[in-house]
Amino acid sequence: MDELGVKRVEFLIRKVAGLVSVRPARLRRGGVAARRKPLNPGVLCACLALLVSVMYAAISPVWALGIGQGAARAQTPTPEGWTVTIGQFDASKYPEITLYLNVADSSGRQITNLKQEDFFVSEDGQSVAITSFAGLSENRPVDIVFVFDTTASMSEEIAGVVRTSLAFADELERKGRDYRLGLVTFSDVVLQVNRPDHSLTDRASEFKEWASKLVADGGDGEPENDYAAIRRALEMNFRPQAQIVLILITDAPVHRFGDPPDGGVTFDDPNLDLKPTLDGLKAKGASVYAIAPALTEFTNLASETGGRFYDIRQNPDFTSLINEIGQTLANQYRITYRSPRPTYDGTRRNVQVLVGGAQARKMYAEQHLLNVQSNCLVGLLCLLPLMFALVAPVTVRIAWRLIQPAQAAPVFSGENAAQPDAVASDVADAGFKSLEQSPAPEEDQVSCSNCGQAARRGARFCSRCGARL
Amino acid sequence: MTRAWQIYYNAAFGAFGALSAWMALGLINTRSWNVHLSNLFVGAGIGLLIGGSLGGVEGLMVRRSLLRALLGAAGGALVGMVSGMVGLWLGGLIFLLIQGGLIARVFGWLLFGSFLGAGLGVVGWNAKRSLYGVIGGAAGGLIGGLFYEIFTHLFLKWSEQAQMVLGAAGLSLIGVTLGMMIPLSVSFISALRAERGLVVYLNGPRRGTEVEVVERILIGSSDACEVYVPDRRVEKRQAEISLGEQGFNVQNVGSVQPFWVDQQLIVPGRQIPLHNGATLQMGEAALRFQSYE
Repeated sequence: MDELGVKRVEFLIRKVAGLVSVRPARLRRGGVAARRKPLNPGVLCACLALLVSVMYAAISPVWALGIGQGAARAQTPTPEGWTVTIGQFDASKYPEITLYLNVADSSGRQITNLKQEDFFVSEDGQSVAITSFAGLSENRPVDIVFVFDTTASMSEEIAGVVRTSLAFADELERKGRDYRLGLVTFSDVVLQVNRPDHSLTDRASEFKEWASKLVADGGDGEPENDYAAIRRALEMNFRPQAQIVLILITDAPVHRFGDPPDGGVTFDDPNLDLKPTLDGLKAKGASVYAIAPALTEFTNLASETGGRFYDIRQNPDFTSLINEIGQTLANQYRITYRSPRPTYDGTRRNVQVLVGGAQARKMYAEQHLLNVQSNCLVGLLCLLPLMFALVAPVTVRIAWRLIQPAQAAPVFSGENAAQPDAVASDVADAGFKSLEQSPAPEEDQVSCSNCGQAARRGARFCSRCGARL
Repeated sequence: MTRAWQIYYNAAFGAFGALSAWMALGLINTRSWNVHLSNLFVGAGIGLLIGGSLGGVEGLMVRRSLLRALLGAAGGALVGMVSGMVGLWLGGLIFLLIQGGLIARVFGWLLFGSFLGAGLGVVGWNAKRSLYGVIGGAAGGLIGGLFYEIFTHLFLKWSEQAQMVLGAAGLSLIGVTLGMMIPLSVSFISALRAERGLVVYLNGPRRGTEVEVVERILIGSSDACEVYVPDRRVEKRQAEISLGEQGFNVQNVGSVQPFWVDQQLIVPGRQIPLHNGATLQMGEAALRFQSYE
């Protein structure tokens, strides 16, 4: 292969590697080049999007089974008519998972005599060992805070709470639930926190006394400040092992961050929004039972925390709602298990609970985007080839220079520069005849021991062959 | 050093930084921490080591200036730490919002890579370089996230052991792609342009090293110049090659020293058009300019 052929092959390799222009370089004549049409970025983006879509479609069957169906299948009726409902779901102590369940028959009556053996729990199809179970005969501490809108339109609801508070507490006690009660009232601001030291009461009579002192007043302009009240309720002194439940009762929409001032109250706290409120609730493992207007904020507060939503305008019998919540809480089973795959891999998990032929599903995701877990041996095995990859090229180059005898370089000429395909190596060793002719500052000259090229005194490298002087 | 070797060393140094981060951070049990705090800490650690590693590689391998390498490493580490911290935290936030899964993982990693890349671009105090960094980082994050998610699910049965290797491999991949994509994206973006240029060192210890010219570059004896010519007869900022309406031009931006372009003397302030194959002589250094269209 002649010299031109070698250059063409070299250029071809570089072109394939995408390191130079997709076309051979063309000499620009007179400083003006014929423009080529640039690549279309839209086409490239479309190709990238297509690639991602194909990969997604290809790999999605690997784990698609069951994902996203968990929430939708939280309630599944069976031939026997039993229904199991997963209420609160707490994965905050991962790999320990806690579920609160209600089991009801076809008529909606709660089934209360089930034992641990009656439940079968699996995660991603793998059965799990239940580490803790609390049936209705066992002690299941629950801390309940009523978050109550006490504006003028709420007088009936206040009377309803007063009427039902004792029955509500009795139901909990009768089913063996170790309860504590708290009360936070609000309008545009948080009005009152019982007790001021943020502790909860274990006496239903004391709670009734607080409720009976409530006066429905103010709140001339909707909406009200529910988020601030929920945040205050979460500051109560809850017991470490207790299930935390907030019962939110309001008939008005909710104020959020950025709303114009209402009655002199400003809403400039960014925490006054659904997302931070939900974060706060989840961090505490609290669930919300909302008796409120059918607005997205309230339905989300309930559904996202494993609670329940009741439309206050569609349910005129307020006391029956309170009783229903009391019954639901009183008849909840608590199951705790350790995940059979306790790794921090950020994957979605499907939990399935089977009881008496009824089943319920729930999906949760482990929270780590990136799991960093190192091992010295694996690290060493990875680092050694990498160190080799870093050192090898330099070593080979030095060895090559030692083996190869120095070669005289071609003399640079004007014709060389005009060759369109002449690549860097072509003139890498070029000398500059022009240097002698050019008006460079006069200096004493020495010559290169390798090629004999004249060089200025003090120069470190030969301008022709690049050898160190 | 040719572009190919620059890409090779960038990739290797990126992988080295990522693996070091994986080894160091893996010794600390952050898994039981609050997930946001853990993401902030791990992101900062990864950014520090990848940034430090990649920040020094250009000074070490291209400009061959120890000072520039150290400055680059320090700057890269500092900016990488901040950008990695913000990137992984934001990525983690998105991951939590979408509640895991492929899209969440890929998007989270993409965000992490983009921030890391943008941070490394910022080190050069160059908006264009930041853009290249974002593109490189996003591509690295995308590939790394896809790889992590796919292999996590493929080796689900051996999750405990797989996580160990996947963390190392996923991070190495992000380091490699980030390192590789920053110089590659310069080539890629310049390929989208109608014209681009290349300066090649013809002699001295940097002989064969190629520096891409997208819009403008500086040549001088300051190691902050894209084409670094450490010669006592070359001024700190000696020449500027820039793309004009009629093609590339070269201007003497120095104050005293002249230089030669194909035997033509260029005194301070003078600007001439630069044609393909032109040879620039500055002090002892000879450079060749190549333009592509």
